Amino acid sequence: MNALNALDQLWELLCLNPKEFDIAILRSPDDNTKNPFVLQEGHLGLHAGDLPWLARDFRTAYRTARLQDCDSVLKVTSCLLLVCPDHATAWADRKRALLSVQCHEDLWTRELDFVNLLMTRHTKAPTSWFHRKFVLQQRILQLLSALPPPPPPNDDHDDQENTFSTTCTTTTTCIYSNMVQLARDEIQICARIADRYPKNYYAWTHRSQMLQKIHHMLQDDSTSGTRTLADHYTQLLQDQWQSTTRWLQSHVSDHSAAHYGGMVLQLLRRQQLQQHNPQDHHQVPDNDTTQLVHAMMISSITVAQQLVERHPSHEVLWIFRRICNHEFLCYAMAITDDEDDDDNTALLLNSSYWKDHIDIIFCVEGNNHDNSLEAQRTQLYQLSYVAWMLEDVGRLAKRFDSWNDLVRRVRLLQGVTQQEYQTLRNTVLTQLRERKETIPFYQQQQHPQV
Amino acid sequence: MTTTSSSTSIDKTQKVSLQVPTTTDVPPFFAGLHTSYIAGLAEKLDAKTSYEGAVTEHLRMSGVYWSLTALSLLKSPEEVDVIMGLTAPTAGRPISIVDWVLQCYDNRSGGFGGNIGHDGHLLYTLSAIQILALADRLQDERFLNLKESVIDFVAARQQPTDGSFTGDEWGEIDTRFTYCALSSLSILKALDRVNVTQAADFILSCRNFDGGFGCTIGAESHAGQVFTCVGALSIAKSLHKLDADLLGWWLAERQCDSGGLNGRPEKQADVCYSWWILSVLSITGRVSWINRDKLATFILKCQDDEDGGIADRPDDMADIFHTFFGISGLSLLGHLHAAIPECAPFRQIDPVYALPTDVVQKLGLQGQIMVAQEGDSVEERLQQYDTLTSQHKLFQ
Repeated sequence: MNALNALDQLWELLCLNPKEFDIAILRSPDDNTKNPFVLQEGHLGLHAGDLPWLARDFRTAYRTARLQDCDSVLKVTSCLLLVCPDHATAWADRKRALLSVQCHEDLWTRELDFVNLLMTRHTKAPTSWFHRKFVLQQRILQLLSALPPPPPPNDDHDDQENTFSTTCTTTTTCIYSNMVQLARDEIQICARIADRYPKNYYAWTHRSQMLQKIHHMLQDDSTSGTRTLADHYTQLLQDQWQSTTRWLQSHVSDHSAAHYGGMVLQLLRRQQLQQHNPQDHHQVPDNDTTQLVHAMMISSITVAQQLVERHPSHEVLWIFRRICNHEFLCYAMAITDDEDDDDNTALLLNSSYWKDHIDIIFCVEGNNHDNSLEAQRTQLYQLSYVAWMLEDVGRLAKRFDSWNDLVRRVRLLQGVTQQEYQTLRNTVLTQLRERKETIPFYQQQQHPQV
Repeated sequence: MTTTSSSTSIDKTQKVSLQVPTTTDVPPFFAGLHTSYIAGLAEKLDAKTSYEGAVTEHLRMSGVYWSLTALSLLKSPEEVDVIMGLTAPTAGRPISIVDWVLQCYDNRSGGFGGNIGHDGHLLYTLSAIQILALADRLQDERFLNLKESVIDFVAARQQPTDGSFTGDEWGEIDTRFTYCALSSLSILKALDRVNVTQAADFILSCRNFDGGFGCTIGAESHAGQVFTCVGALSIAKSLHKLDADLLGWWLAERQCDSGGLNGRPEKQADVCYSWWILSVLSITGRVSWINRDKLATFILKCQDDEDGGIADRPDDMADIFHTFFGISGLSLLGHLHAAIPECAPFRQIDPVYALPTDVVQKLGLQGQIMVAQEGDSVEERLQQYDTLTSQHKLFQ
């Protein structure tokens, strides 16, 4: 088969509904026919042995086609990128081609279909992920272009303006719902990719950027539709928290998921703060959100604790606990700024934050006789975790004039004396020194000042 | 200069026993095999049946840089020149590497592409400049004619809003690109063309609670990205903004039971992090925070003892990226040099610019390094840099 035939044949297959199949590389030499492509049971198979010449021939075809019309560029880059997914120049030509054609309703959604197909096989090419972002950005612009113009500045005609606002709000609400749906679709695709290619850095980063994107839109935009967007967003964050903790139960070594979970908590915390400090009259404090965030922050501590209890030898789960505690501490700090919030403060006081950490040290001391590799590793994670938590509290304390000021403001720590803090810190550092001789900073702390 | 390879016959059997004290059998360092592996790479990639050659054509520029730098740590500059056909064509090659690099210049953007006819991109612009530095051809008249446009291309990548850099005209932002831009401009003595403070502040905005850095704001800490971030801060002389203790703690925890380093928690160890992490520990004066002998042993075990080259982990297939990372890692550990009365030409790697130390010193490249505490000595290879003494922040 010559290059033109291979190109035409692959293009024909790609023009079928690409949502229906995924890309597979066939390694078995059993089907050694002339045909390099097989479409079977939802898989578009490419024979591994054919890849070198396909890549070379597609590249040759690309050199000619890139100077031609848009259709030729789209056709040849589709084929080339399926075998060379990080070919930055081919992606750039594709963007130029897409931007030069008349924009129609499904131009960008169809391009997303192509990227989705490519990502069934290639998930680690940074340029392909950037192309995905680029296409989404175009799609968002397309959605936003339907937004009604801002209301006229003249307030003499109250009735007219009310009618105008109502229409605007309906359209705006609809557009923002679509945008949140777009983010949900992206998140779902990222989850699918992470399922097939575990700990995929790009998929998890992209997923987190979807959440950050809406956060920034809420920050920047104060139109009347943001109330709807904020509600959808809170719901989305809540769903993400639940799906991530569920994910961690079955992916106990997935640091990307743990980091993502932390990002969700952070965004929730900031979302609530933002609503408490409305920059404009459209964003009034929302009691439901406050309660929801509060309940989630409290429960995150428990969820993280349960995870390490179930799988104590997994570093990632200890890190997840550390992340949750860090967010919790930041949250506790923020809400105790608000002296009127008695209900929330009371809840914080009831948490056994400090005692839980002391218990971990007792647990390590109690298990000193177990010399298995797993037990040793677990002990190291436990100690590192407490060391980190103490470091976190220590850093927080530096923001205050005295320890008493800290305890007064961060009520989570109420009842803990500076002496107790120092004693716990010395214990942990001593134990760490015994276990990990290669890290000198533990050694440098022989005589911590009390 | 001789253009045939006969004057630099490669002794494939050259082996060096590195003094790595350990209880298990440690393979020697196969210096001769690695040299022949790198020397034969171009021919292998250009073979019609090569899959790697076909799918890496668009990033050939970086491949050439990795090959040259790795070989530069094993051979004298003159030998590297002849073996690789750096400044004059070698047998079987129509043009020299330097000529080819200049042909990869993209007139439209002003940057260098990954191969001839490709769009300019920061990643390949840095590789091209590094190759010219290795070849001592930064003063080549053909390059001097392009230099201003190259500087314009790099400077135009900085975003006025937050100081970040895009890789090309399309707007992808990544901390890798900040490093590429600052390193390129520093080598070309044009750092004043960008806002260095703002560039450093963008890097810091990508720092996570664990002290590590990701590819963008809020992205998971990744040891590879940590190198680009700390390298950029070093060139920007902004290491005082770094929490080196917190970062060092996280990096030290990357060492696995095998002795190798991973890039994120609970991932497999990979030779590439021997470079990414060690270079940062070296810049921050904290190499002793990991077990060096165990790491050297891990790298030596990843060598291909038949065909040369180093793989990501033991028993995997060798490639040029990991060959560079492995040899550079051994250089940073000091092992390549400690054992070398018989291998005097081994040059050292510079952790900031990823070029041989003598190239960096000759060009007078600037940067900053740290010592972990007052009185710590500075490695010889780092002595041209400004030195900062750490202010300890952990458990104070």
